[in-house]
Amino acid sequence: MTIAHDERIDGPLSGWQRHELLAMFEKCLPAHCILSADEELKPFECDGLSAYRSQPQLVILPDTKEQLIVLVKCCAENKVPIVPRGAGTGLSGGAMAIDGGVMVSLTRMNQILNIDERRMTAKVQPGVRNLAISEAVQNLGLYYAPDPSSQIACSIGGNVAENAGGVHCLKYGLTVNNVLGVECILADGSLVQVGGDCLDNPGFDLLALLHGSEGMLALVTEVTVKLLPKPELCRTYLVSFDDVEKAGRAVGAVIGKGIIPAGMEMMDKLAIQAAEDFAHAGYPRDAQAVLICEMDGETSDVESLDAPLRAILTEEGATEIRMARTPEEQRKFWLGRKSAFPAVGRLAPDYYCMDGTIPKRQLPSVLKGIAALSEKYNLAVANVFHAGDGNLHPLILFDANIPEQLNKAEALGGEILALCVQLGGCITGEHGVGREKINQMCIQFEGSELEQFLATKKAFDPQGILNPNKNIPTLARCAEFGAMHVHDGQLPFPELERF
Amino acid sequence: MSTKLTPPIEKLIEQVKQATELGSSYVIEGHATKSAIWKPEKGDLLSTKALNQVVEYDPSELVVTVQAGVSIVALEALLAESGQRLSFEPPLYAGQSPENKGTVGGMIASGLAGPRRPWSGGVRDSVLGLHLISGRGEYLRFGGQVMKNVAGYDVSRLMVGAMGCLGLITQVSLKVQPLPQGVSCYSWACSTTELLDRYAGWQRSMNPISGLAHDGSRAYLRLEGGLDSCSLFASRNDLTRCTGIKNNGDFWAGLRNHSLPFFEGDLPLWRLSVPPLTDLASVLESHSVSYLMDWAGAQYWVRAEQTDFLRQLVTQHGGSFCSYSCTNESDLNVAGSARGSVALGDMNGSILLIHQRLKSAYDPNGVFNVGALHESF
Ligand SMILES: Cc1cc2nc3c(=O)[nH]c(=O)nc-3n(C[C@H](O)[C@H](O)[C@H](O)COP(=O)(O)OP(=O)(O)OC[C@H]3O[C@@H](n4cnc5c(N)ncnc54)[C@H](O)[C@@H]3O)c2cc1C
Repeated sequence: MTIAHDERIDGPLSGWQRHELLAMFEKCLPAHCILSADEELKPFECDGLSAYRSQPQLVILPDTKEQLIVLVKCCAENKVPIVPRGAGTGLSGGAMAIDGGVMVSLTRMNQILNIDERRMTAKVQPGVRNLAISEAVQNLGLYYAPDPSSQIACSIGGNVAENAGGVHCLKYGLTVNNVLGVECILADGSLVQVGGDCLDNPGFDLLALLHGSEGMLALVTEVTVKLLPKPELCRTYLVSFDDVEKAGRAVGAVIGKGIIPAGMEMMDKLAIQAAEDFAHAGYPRDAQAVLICEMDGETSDVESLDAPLRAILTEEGATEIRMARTPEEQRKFWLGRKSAFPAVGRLAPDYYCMDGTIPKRQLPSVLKGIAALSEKYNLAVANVFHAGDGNLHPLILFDANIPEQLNKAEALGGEILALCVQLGGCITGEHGVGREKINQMCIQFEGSELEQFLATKKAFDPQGILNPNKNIPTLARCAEFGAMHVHDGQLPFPELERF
Repeated sequence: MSTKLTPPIEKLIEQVKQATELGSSYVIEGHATKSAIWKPEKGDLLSTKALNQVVEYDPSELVVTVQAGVSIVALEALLAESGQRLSFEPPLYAGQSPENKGTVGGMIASGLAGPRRPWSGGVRDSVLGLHLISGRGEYLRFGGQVMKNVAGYDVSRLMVGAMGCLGLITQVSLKVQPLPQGVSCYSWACSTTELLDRYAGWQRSMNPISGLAHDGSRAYLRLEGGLDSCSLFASRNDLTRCTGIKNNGDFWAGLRNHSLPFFEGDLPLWRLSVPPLTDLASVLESHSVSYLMDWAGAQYWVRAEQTDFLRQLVTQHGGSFCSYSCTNESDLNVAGSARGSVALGDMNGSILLIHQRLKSAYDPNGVFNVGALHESF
């Protein structure tokens, strides 16, 4: 079943035409903020998930939050859907345009507003790139910890909206654990502060709720992030295994013994070979799996954990443990991992990246399951995992030019996510649901839970104008997707209205 | 994925549905250890006592799943057997009996964290998922037992500090952490200002600090981490030569659990939440009130009859304050009741509206803890 907007089950579109929208916004916003020509709109037709495209009718690029407020008020008055967009690196179609709506790109709001050295925080606009924060405070010996692999490009506003993780979130947490407060514009155009400089605030924890809300509850206009001192010492180990399942078990063994690496990444044979061809990182071509394990912290602590770490890995069957001796070698170890996506991209014309999570102890079972599914669909799958926190990125290789291959890849991906749910995990660890996984939400949640999400959305946005129809499927969609669970022999939602 | 419900949960659901029909309300009760900090308007007691199971614990996952009625003490003992702990040091306030020092459900609902908060995060940072019974009597599951999960909105974290206003939490999955290899504590005489200035320097490079407090005359410092890093930090900063009790672990337990002499007596107790490294010492001293600074200057405990200057102080620093002696009706009127509650009229209008709408989205008939967080819901 397609993820495309279907008015019958997803609800009616606004019906606004481009010229009507243009007339509406030309009245209240400067001309240079409005893009309406086809060639200007083309770059906005998809985010990082390029398999799904839909060109927006209009893109607004505000310079200031005052303009943004004007825009939201105008949209609220006329019931115009707003699709916020940061850098457009999202991998779930969260910033995909909707017909009859307007896209708001926040990239021009890209100033670092304040760095509080004493409190070690930075206040930045939403369009600031993730890495730009760390670069700006590097001279102070500080950095911003969450480091999605897309960090040179993705925006902090997008990070909040997706609750982005990174290779170091095992130890340092996700975006939600590193943001102290945001300023945002609500669906009625009011500007509010949520959270702030304190460690807790009166009322419900709306700050947590905004994280991962995919631009559906509010537009983020300022973000205050925590800064951390750079680790004194950072050691990177490249660990080889002759069996993927052994590698999977080693991850749990290290953590179970009380060692928390800063990052613990895993790649399987196909990913290793692709990365090696691409990046020449010196990965062992004959290994069935490698772990990249990074230990950081105070010098004495990192040094004292070297021996116990090696002992555990050896006991779990590591065939080789290499520690990077030079910064150059360390960079290379990471280069292989960080270029895994483009590297795999050379193995086939297209790849489709999944994002399920599982309890770590299920790594061996999920690997077996993925291998079987790969065979069933006759599509290769390369596995790259944030193994330390059980977040999988199986990359499904296919060729969109061959009829039916995209559908097959989608179906295979859907089965992998269903497997994750079955093993006690979830359908997305960090990339978000967006439009892409809208159907799989019907597997993860029951109707009453989805209704609770919809009610939560309504509490913020009664008219449903903020990024509508992302993240939470309508019950009508789920009923049709047919994955709803049958209760007491009753068909799910026979009474449901179809739009 | 559907869940098989156990009889105690089915019974609770039944009770909630009944209240919905009758238009009555409940006050959710665990061990009733936090009655000093909150006061719902009315309702029959609804106990979580029967929810006493450890659902799942696998130390190598760093995740534990327990039901809401499990005692915090029992949970911590379970974790300690595998060399792990809750990172946020939930306070264990004295209850009706020595074993009853708080339930996991109350810990989540109140969202209170101990002295380690600035360095290891709060309750919300450890919550991975939970199950709850909504005010409609529906059994709902949010989040999960995995470290990362962005499917749907983060309703689990929304429940932290919500004082049970949005539903009855039946079970929760928490991220846990390994016990540190080394712990050492130091105390010496110096001013609050001096201590905070020193800390401002320390925090700019890696350090094993996990507690920083001041009682108006002495500094208290706790280090947790690798054996070497703790002793190195201490010697580098001349901490070994500090006078006073070296292993003042009792101080930290007393601060966490409000069992220090400071917390005894009848003078009203207030909690101030301000940005880290806020120095309130001179103002508090000029009003001759006794105080305890915690969380490296982000949390102050103050004993005072009069509150006008406290209100001014927190407003000036962009913080908030609340009463910790809610048994005293008049205190309730000047500040909010619970940790998360708000002094009347202090909340931005749009934000208050969202609170009210969320309350009706989760508990439309006002079954749970009415008035616990705000007079309007
Ligand atoms: C090569 C590659 C590697 C990646 N690696 C990782 C990784 O390791 N970890 C990870 O978590 N993700 C990763 N991602 C995914 C992506 O980079 C993140 O989801 C990122 O947070 C998206 O940021 P963005 O600025 O590009 O947002 P966009 O893609 O523009 O938007 C994402 C969502 O955020 C909303 N949004 C954007 N800005 C705002 C705002 N100011 N207010 C409200 N809503 C807003 C949009 O509506 C949309 O729903 C990767 C992507 C790529 C292409």
